[in-house]
Amino acid sequence: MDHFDYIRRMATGVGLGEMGVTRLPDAAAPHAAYVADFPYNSEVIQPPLYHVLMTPAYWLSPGGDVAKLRAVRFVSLLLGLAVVFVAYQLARALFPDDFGMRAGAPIFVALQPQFAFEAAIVNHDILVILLASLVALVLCRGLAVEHAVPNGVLLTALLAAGLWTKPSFGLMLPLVALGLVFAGRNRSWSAGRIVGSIAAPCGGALLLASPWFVRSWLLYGDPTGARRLHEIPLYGAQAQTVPDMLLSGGFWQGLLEDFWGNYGWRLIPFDPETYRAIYLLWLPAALGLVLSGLTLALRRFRRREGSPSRRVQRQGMALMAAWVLLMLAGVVYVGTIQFTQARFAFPGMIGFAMLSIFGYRAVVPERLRTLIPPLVFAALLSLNIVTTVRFVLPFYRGVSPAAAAAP
Amino acid sequence: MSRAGRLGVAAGSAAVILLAWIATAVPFDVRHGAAYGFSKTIDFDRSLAVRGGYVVSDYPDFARVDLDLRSYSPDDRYDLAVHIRSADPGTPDVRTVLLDVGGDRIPSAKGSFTDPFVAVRFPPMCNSAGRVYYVWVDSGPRNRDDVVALWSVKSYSRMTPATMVQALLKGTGNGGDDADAVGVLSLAIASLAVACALLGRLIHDAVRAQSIPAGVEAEQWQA
Repeated sequence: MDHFDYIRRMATGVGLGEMGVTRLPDAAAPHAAYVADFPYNSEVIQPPLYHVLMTPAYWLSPGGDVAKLRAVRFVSLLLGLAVVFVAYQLARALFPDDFGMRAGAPIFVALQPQFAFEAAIVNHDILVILLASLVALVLCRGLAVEHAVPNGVLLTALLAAGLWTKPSFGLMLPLVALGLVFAGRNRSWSAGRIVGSIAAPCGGALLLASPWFVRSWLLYGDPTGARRLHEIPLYGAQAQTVPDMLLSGGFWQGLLEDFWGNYGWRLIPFDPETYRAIYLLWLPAALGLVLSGLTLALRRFRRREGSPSRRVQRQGMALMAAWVLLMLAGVVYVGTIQFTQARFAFPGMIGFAMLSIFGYRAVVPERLRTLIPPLVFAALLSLNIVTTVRFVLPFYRGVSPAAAAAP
Repeated sequence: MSRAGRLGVAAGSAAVILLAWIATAVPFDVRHGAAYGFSKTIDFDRSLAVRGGYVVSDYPDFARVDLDLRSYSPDDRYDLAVHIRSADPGTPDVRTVLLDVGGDRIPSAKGSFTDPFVAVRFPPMCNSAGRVYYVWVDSGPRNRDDVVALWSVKSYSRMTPATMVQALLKGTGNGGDDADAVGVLSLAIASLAVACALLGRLIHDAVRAQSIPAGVEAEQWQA
């Protein structure tokens, strides 16, 4: 609701807004339950790049709001497909001769239920996911010395675009730093050159995004406006401390349920037995990751470096792990301000996919690893079919008119 | 056709047949639409919980309720009676199910990653589509003085996907846009057909990849 209104504001020339001041149109009133800060548009606190990019779809779609909404949702679908393609390219960059990884990673991304949901709604998160994925792709391709070094201009542009889409994109800056450290070490760069290669794109992106941060500071006293979100009724009341979150089983349960299935502003959760089945199928991937970590540590202890290609793969998977951890840190940070959601970690979705497939790979015999993609495909397809039939479609068709008369 | 190709075609075909069979012959518990998946019977603001709540059956064959029961004596066993009747006042029960459950299954404080609901199944009510029901829980003689609270109720119809789709197309859900429903259904069938073809192709590529030596990219390998 908020994002669509933001797009409408940009498309009709009304322009940027201010949180707590800019009101949603009266037509939004029937949907107040789905709005964070009704009657205000809380998303105007976010930078406008996604909303500006959606204006052509808004302009070109004939008809009223519903038609324009569908047009913008279709663009989200295209952005989601682009992320799936980037997943394939990233897996291919790190594992060019491994069918399991090349096919498994994009399959995981494409059929992950909540990612598919994100790619079907009007929300700037899908653009953030795509931009973050492109950054990770550039970094991974730059690891191998036979490839070109990561393009500084391209990284600057992607980072700046990400910051102009959502300030939390700043969490990608440490990942860029790590990726460039790996790329520099692989090419025997000096420390000064490595630092310079990091400072240029990161500093350049922050400089390009600084007008928005200055604006936020002037309006809200905070360069990202994040603290202002704490003032949203009911949302801010759900803020917690970091230890409270990390040590709470309920927090992790909510996060996992959010990650896999909590459609429609949390109105359509799966049933507990469905979550349990998901965790059971995902557990081998986690065990495989632990096994891989132990194997790597043992190899290091025995001072076995392995081939350059293996080094690139280790560095690439380290980037994936760092990417996921940075995104989770963002989820926890938001939790200190307001209620938080697992979808804030979705910019790292390809990282989740790569780590999952890599984990499965570690527990499956080598001659059977090529079967991982079709098995993952079948499992996720089944999940989507079952949950759509049991939970999503029935809710989408809604409660019958008799419910309105329920005592 | 190569072995990989034959396996791929077989896998894709088997997937189509399996999906068709599931769609027409395998019943699912389809959850009725309710915000957050359940009808809440507890009011946390006032710390009150009533032992009954209303559910709306969106579909025919209403056959299951899940109850979030809370008890305060984990060592006791509870004899409960679950009553289901139409929401119209004065109507008799349409279903009564006796429930024998241990206090440790329905503790007052339920931990993380546990299933807080107890599933109660009963013979399907074929004419339940669009009707409102009142579900309430009564204690048996053994537990008259015990406190058992009901925090929320979920309700389900047991039906095949094909039956549910028919109900959608007839508008027995929210009576909304049936053109939308036909469009969504068509898109779903087309997507599933593509998915089956993709699965077949994946099996083909997986089997073919098993024959490619390590270190060689698939595009470079000539079988």
